[in-house]
Amino acid sequence: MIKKIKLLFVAVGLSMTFGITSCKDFLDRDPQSLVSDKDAFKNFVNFQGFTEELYHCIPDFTNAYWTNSWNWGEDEIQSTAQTFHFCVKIDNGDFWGWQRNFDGWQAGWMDRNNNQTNDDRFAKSLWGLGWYAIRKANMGLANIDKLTDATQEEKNLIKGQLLFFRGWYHFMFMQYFGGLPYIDKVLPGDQKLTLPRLKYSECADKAAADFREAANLLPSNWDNTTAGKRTLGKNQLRINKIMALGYLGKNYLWAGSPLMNSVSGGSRTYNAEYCKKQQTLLLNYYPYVKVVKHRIA
Amino acid sequence: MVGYGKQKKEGVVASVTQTTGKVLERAGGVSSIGAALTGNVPGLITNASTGLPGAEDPQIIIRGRSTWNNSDPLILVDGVERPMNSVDISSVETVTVLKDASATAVFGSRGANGVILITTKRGKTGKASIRATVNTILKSPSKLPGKYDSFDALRIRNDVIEYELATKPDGWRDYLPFDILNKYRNPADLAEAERYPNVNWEETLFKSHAWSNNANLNISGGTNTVKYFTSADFLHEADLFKTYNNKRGYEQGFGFDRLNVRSNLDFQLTPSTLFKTNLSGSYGVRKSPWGFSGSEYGSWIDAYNAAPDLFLPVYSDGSWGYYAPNEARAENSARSLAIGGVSYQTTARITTDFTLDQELDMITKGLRFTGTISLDNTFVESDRGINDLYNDTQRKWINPETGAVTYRQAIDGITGFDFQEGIKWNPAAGTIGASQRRLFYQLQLNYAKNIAGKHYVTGMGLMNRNVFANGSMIPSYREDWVFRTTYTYNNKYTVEYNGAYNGSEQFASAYRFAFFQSGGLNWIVSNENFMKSLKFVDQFKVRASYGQTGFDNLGVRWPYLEQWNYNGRSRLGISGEGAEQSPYTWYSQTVVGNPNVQWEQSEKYNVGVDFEFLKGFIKGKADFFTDNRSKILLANRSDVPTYFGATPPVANLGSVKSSGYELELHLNKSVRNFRFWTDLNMTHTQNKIIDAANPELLPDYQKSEGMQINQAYSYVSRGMYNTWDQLYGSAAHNANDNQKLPSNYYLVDYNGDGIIDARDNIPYGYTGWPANTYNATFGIDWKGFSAFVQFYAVNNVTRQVEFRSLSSQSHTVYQEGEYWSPTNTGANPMPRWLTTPQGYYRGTQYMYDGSYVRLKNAEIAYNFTPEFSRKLGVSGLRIYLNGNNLIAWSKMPDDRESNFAGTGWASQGAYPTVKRFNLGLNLTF
Repeated sequence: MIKKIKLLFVAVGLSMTFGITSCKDFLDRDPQSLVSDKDAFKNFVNFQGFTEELYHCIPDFTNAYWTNSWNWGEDEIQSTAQTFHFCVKIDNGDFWGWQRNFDGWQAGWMDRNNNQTNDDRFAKSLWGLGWYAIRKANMGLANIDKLTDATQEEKNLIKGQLLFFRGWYHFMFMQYFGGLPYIDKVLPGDQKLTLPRLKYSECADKAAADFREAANLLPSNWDNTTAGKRTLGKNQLRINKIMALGYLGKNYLWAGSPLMNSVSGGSRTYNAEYCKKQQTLLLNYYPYVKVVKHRIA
Repeated sequence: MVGYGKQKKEGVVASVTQTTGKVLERAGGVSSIGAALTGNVPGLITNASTGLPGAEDPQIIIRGRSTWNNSDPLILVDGVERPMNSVDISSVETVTVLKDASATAVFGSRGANGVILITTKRGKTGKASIRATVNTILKSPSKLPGKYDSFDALRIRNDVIEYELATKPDGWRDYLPFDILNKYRNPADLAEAERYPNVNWEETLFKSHAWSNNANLNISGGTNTVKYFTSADFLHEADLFKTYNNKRGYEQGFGFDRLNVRSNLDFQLTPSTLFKTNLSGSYGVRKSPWGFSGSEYGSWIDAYNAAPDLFLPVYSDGSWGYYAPNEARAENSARSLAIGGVSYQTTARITTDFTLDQELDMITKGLRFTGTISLDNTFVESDRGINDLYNDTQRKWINPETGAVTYRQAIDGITGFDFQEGIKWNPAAGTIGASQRRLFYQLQLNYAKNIAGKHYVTGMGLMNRNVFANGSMIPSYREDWVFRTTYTYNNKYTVEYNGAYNGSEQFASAYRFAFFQSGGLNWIVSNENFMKSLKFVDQFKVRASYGQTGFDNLGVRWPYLEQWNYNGRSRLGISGEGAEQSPYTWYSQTVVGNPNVQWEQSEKYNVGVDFEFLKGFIKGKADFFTDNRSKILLANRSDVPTYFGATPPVANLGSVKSSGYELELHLNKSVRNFRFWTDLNMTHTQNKIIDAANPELLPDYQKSEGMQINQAYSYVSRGMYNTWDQLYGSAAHNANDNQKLPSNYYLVDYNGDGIIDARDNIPYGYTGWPANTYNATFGIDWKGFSAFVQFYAVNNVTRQVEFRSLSSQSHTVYQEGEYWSPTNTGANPMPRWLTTPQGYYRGTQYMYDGSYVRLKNAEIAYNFTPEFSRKLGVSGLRIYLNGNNLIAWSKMPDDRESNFAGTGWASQGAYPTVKRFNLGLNLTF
């Protein structure tokens, strides 16, 4: 009897030791249940997949709801019957009306409750998805070195798109809200965030730098690249040099205008420097427009 | 009995309260252990909300709230985490509530909110003893909001119309002359009674009483080798709803039937080896309308909201009533329940425990090893029954002004013939819901030794693992390593030290395991020499404990992991409406992880005094406690700006301080054949949020920091304006300011900006959990008779109950007391009919003081003498009549302590809470 008990005790003791060795792993989430972040950046196909969600963060400015408004702050009367569109609110001086909690019908494209990157034009908003897109662009740029299994051309394509979108979303925000913090890295989630609000001109300079670098990296036509052959003939909407230069110029134009100049600390006149930059760009820009034949569908 | 073992009662340093199954059985026929515990355990606070058969369990917290995350205590049945309603009261031997750190430390992370240990009965050596109990319970609805009948409601509406005439002269067309009002109260014949309805919905929908039954049989006994305890318990909870004949062949309503069986066996394999098995099964069937999930209020809403003059539930020609001018004004609850179908939700639960207890005296005297493995399985099948959706009845409305009859279904939509109601329901097969399974295993070593008669040392070490899964989720894992040592010197001084090394799957491996320690001291002052001269002191103890516990239950899994998704493609084609998708599939980050997320820390202090005086005449305890929580996991991060670009991850940013005290006093006196006894206790708790990462620029009164958890907010008033001049001097409302009328409240413009708006919604009253609870039980025993009454009261609690008279132009007028009149200028403002002031114009009128006093339990019992019982063939016979929730005194319009049941909004009601009267019989063979 004593022997049996001793045997029992030994058996139990052994089973305890097995238990001890697998301590830490016992509490790990099953790795096969995870989509790994390492997969997203390892080759061109995956990284391009990562990048392309940025295209779907753009709201449809002219077709965001059953009826639409986008010409704000001018002499157009949108409707005399209803008052829910933002352009009517602006005419009445309600400048807070763009926010989602003041938009009962969720009719505006600036800020909505429900934001998805799917095909639903009713589920897009600039404020709702723009910051997500900027974070995504920064995440991509921070991990661009992980793109080892790709040619230099492919790396340039990815980096160019990411830089363009970072500049573009900031530019779109700037137009409506003036100077902003310019987010150029992935922000940490557990620290206090107190980024300063930059002046319009400072933001414009940063956006310009991003557009310029993007323009340098991107081709003027994806169909002429090796990576673009995968989607031959269907690359018209992918970001290219022309688009980057176009926005670079627009950014300078806006920055040079009297309104933006005055909020940046200058006077209510055109800013000569920005206008000069725009002019130089235009002179270098025309040749591209002439050479590449774009079909206007 | 403390966590994972027994300790000598004197040497206990922790704050522990124990109650027995007998006390629970006194609770007047309630079947929920949580409800039976109310008042009997100081420090345990409950909030009831509904009397739904099978779902009456109240919410329970121990010693107040100290975190805004999950505050539920850990409930263990025989050492394993199981829901409280898996055990029936007749199988319960003791319920022990562990409250402070030193008691709960050994449960590690799960014990931070307190622990309730339920131990089931076990067999004892001896002849088979059979105990049968039969309870017959009468239950009736406790209290529903009082409404005026049609005559009074419409008369009050007339008064309101006159009151508003200056602003809304259109109201005059709704004014009703006395002759018409009289027809509602005194109809001349059936036709008039149907044209001018005067329905008391509470009496129409609910029976005045219903009968429930509970029977159980316990058999226990044993020899030196095997001891057994077996029990079977059957419960039938009846329904309070009246059943109207739906002419469809099935009976609608609610109900609950449950059968519990249990078998606890102890095998003494050798003089030093004990093998215990607990097998229990529970089969419960809950009946409800088809598709009922808890938040559908159609069956009872009319008792809370519907006006008395809308329609009759059923007319004499068999049609059901409906309100044709505005169907959304009220649904016909009698009809909703009658044609709602029937569904049965079956919960089948099996729990098994296998424990091996081996004394290892051969290695060291006093050493003992215990190994346990438990497997629990619960299956839930819902929606089996009758699906009668979309099969309408004929409905009718009679216009009181003209007498014209409107039928809802004039003609059949398809054939064009007259509408024929058919029996068109389908039987519905049940759907198997998420089954739950739990695997628990534990290895424990205990050591107890008395050295030289003066030094008593104990030690305990254990390790356990918990694997739990519900449905198809990835199983959740938990692992704990715990030890405890105590040292008692000369039966006077005790020192205790515990440590727990807990692991959780919620955190990254760097923070996954954490070590929490606790300890305590106990001084039995009465055993000191200098106390021996004080003859009146039987026992006097002072104890103190301090400890740390961790907590990780956030409701979000793996907050440390960022989560990615591989799905979706962009449409980058340029032709067609749905343009062609790109071949590149998106990678997107769906959840931002916080790799630094770690355990919530709870630091508890407890100081207590136990005393016994005058040879058992007075006994009592007093405890003072604090619980400081830090690194509380915060999920809704309002401190992170939008430019962060994603939903901010969970972070350890919160901290709360909570504190309180408990007092207990028991008096017990026997005089000749009489015995008087009293149990008094009270609990006071309060908490304050120190840190909740509120946005910096929010004004202090809108921050949650500095307030209690879930502080109530309201627009507050100071006095009333009774004249137009005073009205013009009052602060303007932010909208509909021109709808103000004299004799309303001056609302406090808290931020002084000249306008009443959302920024004037300020902290008011208390929280939804009472700060103070009081319990007083008085009992008397004389020969075979015994009787007791128990009063339970709470105060410092606020509950929002919005029953607005004449709201949305319904004709419901609640009994709110008197309304303002020139001779009664301090009374409630009049309700409004057509004017539309802002919803907040009534200030705090609907933020009720949630305090109440209840005659919670009362009992008269007679225990027949053994001689008399033997004549009847039994060895013991006891007859008793007891009741639960017999009388309640409170300011609230309905008898619910909290709004959590149903939709969570008090005015949408819930299945009424009940009073119970129970006639029972205990037979022992």
